[in-house]
Amino acid sequence: MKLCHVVHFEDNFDIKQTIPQGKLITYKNFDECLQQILFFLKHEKKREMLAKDSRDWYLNTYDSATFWRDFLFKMSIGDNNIKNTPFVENNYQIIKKNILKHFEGKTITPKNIVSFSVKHP
Amino acid sequence: MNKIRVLFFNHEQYNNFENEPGNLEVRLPMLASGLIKEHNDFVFQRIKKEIGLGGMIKAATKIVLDFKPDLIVYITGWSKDDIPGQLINGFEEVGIKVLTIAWDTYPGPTPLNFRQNNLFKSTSYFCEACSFISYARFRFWREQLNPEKGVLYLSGNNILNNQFKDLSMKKDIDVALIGSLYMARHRLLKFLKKNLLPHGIKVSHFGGYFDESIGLPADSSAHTLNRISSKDYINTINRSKIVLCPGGSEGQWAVRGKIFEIMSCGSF
Repeated sequence: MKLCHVVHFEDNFDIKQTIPQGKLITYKNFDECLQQILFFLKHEKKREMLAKDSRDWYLNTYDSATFWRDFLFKMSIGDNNIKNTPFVENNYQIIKKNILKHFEGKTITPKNIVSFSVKHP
Repeated sequence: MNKIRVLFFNHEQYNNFENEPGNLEVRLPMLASGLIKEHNDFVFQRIKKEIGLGGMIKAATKIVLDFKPDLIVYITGWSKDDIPGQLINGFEEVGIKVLTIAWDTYPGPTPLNFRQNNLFKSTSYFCEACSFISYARFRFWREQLNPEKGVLYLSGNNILNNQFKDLSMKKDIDVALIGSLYMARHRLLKFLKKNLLPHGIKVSHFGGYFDESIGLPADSSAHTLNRISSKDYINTINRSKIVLCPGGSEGQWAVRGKIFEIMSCGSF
């Protein structure tokens, strides 16, 4: 079995909302990055298992040709509700509730929407 | 259903457009959908470089009028080379839908008159390439105020099927960092090289289009000769035990397309 592995920043809001926890190995600072590298080079089986799990998730989740086929078909029939992954869709519905709560009692305008922010360390 | 005629407005920043992310991550996967009857290409950054903004606007208008596409896919490049929003609006007004692909949007709150917001306002369809929070804002905007628009989130749909799969190579690289050298990446590489060397672990850097210690990405003096081909890029990922994928410039959180390319590689 020969697999790759990913290390990325942990405290990245966009990644957390797009990729389920455990599919990437992440770090908060350079020291943690160093420790992760040392650990996963020492524990080859764990690295391979995690990489396989990530790869399986990716292959079961995304298919670019299907994504564009869905878009082009919907465009042709005037349906503007474009497909998403279930994980992203669920997270969008959660953040939508938060945005609506944030704007409760206020008029929703483009200016208000683009000024909405989330906490990002 | 009738198949669709698509005109691609391709970017061309560092390479011939065929080797640019816009082609590899959007144009080719879109063509692979099987629903495009006929397509044409207009490399707007090349034309602007050759004959200036006015000439590019005239040439873009001519190809749109001659080809009569159902859809224009506008794959944005550097902001300095943006196609004027008025021109895009003009195409929309004559009944041609435009899909804008936006990369590296700013994830924090922005003023209304900001590049990504103007891009969203100017077209029927907006595809956020790599930021969930930007996608969520624009989708919310669409649902609340502009239901006639469509908003897409590219994320992991950036890989042409089978491009990265089933490669079996000897893993002879311990730790790799592939891509342009932003300042934060310089600092990370320096730190890791110093601290991994005593353990006998090598950290290697491959590829990249520019070096931020010399200048900004759009500044040609900062462009490097380190670029590697798509084949070498895939091979390097497959040869690596660990691939580092740190963020880019300060303030960008994005889910970089490279993450999915790395995830999808490997074989039994």
